[in-house]
Amino acid sequence: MRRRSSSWRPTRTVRRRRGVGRWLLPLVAAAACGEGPAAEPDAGAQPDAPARTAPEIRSLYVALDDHASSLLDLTHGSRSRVLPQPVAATFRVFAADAETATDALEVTLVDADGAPPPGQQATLRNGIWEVGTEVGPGSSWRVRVRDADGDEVIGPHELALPSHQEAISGIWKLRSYGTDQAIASAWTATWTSSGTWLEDRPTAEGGPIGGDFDLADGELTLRRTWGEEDTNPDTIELTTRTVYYLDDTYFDTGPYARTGTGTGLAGTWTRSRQVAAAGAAARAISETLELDAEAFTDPERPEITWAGSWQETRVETETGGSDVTTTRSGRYRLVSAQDYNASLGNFLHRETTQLDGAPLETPLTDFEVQVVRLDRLLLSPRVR
Amino acid sequence: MSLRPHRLVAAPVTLLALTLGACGDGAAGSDAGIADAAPPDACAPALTLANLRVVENPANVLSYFVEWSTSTPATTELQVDCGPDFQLSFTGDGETDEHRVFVMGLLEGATCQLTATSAAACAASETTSIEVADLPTYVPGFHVETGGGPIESGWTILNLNGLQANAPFLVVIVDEQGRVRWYHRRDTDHPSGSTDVRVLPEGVLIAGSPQVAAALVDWTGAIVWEADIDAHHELLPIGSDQYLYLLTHFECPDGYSSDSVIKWDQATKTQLWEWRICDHYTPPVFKNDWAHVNTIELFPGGDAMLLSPRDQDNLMKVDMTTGDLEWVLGQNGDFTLAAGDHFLRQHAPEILPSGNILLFDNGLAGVRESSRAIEIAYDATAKTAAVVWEYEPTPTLFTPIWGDVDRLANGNTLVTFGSNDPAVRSRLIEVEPSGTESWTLIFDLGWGVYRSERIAVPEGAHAQ
Repeated sequence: MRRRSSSWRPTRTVRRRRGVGRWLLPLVAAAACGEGPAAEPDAGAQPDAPARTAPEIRSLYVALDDHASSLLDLTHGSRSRVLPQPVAATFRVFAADAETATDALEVTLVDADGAPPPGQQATLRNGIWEVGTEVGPGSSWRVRVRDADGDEVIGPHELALPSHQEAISGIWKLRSYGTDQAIASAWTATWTSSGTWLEDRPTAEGGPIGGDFDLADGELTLRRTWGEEDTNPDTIELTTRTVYYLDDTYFDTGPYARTGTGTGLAGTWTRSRQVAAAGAAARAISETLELDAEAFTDPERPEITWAGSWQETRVETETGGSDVTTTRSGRYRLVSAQDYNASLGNFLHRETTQLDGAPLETPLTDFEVQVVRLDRLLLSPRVR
Repeated sequence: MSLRPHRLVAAPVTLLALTLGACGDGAAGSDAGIADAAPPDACAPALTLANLRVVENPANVLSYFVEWSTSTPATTELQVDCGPDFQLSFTGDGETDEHRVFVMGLLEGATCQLTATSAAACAASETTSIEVADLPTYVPGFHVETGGGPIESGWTILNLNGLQANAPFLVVIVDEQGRVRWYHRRDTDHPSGSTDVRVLPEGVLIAGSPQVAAALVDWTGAIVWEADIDAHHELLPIGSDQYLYLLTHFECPDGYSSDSVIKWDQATKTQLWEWRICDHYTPPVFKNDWAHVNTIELFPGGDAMLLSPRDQDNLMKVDMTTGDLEWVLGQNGDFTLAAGDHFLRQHAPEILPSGNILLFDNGLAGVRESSRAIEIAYDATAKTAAVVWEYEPTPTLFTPIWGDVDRLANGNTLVTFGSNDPAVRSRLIEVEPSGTESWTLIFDLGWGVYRSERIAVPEGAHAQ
């Protein structure tokens, strides 16, 4: 039984098969010819000869097998995604050609130089081409469709996957908060893709601070420059090995490496770093932080809801000296700093109740660990 | 009665024999072949119909692009027959030689016959069949219970908040039986959170998660426009491509973050007006995000807005011309309310035609751990207010941080209980004025919802 009928009106009558573009809305629209993004490649064709035309890419999405199983729309614009490591990608392509049957089209990916990735596989399913391959940071990809005559079209929009260095670049509005949660100060940190950083906040030395950094293969080397003439390599104040997020949250202040899998904050986090101030002996610090989740407090923002207990063991090795081990423990909760704009500003409000096994007469509260939801930023600039 | 959405075995689209009827000469090409041609006696001019192409929407397996061509411009029709649950046709009222239809709202696993015909004097047709794929595994299922009473017609759109780590950002539309008929996976790795979804003539508006760009997407899933405006909870269209939205503001003299209301022009992507709550209200206790406004609603005439600062447990009326805060209703407010009529951590107030205010009263842990929908009548002159209608399910449900309530055209009320507890199922309950539950949509465990809205069945999709 027919339940429903609907009528459409074509926007115009088109007598050629080319130049067909958008699918009209509302839901059902037919004879939607013209106004599409595809070129008119047969404009100069001979009147008596059938025009040779390139295929069209009418709809294009890419599914990334990243931690959130992203689906990116490349039909109407280029898309970018920060990836900590390579992931499987499936480009879903609705391609059509006037002369070549869909199953005879050649659908491939090409990088910025026009080269295909190794090992890509293309299959036709439900009328759409699916091209699978692995993509990683520091690359960009477009779809190329070639018909039986060799005519081809390359999609105008790309999937751009910035390198780690590019991902950290940007201008970040940062704030510090007092223990009463009031905003204590605000400043701007500028990190550039050429590897320099600058923070315009006042410091004990006065004026802004800055330097250069290098970020490759998970190794962040941060160098603070003590003036324009400073070329002393000993001024490298922090070299740290970072492992990017393993779930949806990570620490940024002296990046912690998460060991094992899990959700939220609970679990064991470790970090190791070397600290070398100008003229001082180098020190190596290894820290392990264990967090136990006990309650949600406000799951409307799941990233700020964890509360529980923590214990930290810190082993500090003086150059040429002995190890000094310190243990601290206490309670923690996450406090939203509400800095949605930069996705920075959720703090681990940490209260120290015991030091080396002895209860503190007055618990210490600090905000020294900042928690950052995954955004396009891999690492917060606040690494010191 | 209890109905479950069915999930059939996945199968790829299969193009079956195409039938070229009527006057065609059978020469037209097709990806899938050509069957018999049987032109009628009076067949002039000769018309062929060919190249029927059926392609699954890359963004949504429940929808298809269908296209075909005719040898000369003609009026054509597409019939879609997916069995008794889905039959419809589309008729073109103009002549063209390229024909395109977008079909949505199909049921997963369904087998459908698609027949393209010409309404010209010389009829022609092609037929193909498709088998709709299963929904992606990340789309959850729903369960419906009905109470026998009247149900407002239409489908229901909602955002889905996955409580598990790394859940996709999803918007879905379900039918009366709880079957998913449309879904959209937002292009982000952030969770949906407090995302508002609503249907506009141009598509579906999705906004309210400040880390995710606000967007209008069309029914194919394509983005019509996007804007990084950091809107949270609400993006309210007010006409002429203008919107009101909520923005976290950091520069208040008190030193704490709170909310601004922004009037914004989408076409030019510019802010036209800003109203900061910290300039007009002093909370009893300061903290960051002390207001946590979650709703903007316009009063009739559009000159005043109703705000819902959740963490103040009250509502505010603001004159949008002067910026004055006219009154506060609720805790620390200007109105007399009986003790039992106070609301806690409320969401989604709406102004009814009667002038009353309908809202979702979440409740508060340790104070009143049950949620309800209430309708409040108030006298702005006498500054009195009282709850005049209330719905609280039995047994009670406590959904402390999400919720919505809408008065429907048939007088029923759609109440959204969005659970953030992985052990408690979220529910949408349509309740009659008497309090009788007429329709309940029950979620899989592990899925929350912020808001929902009953919508007309999209034109061209299936209507039961």
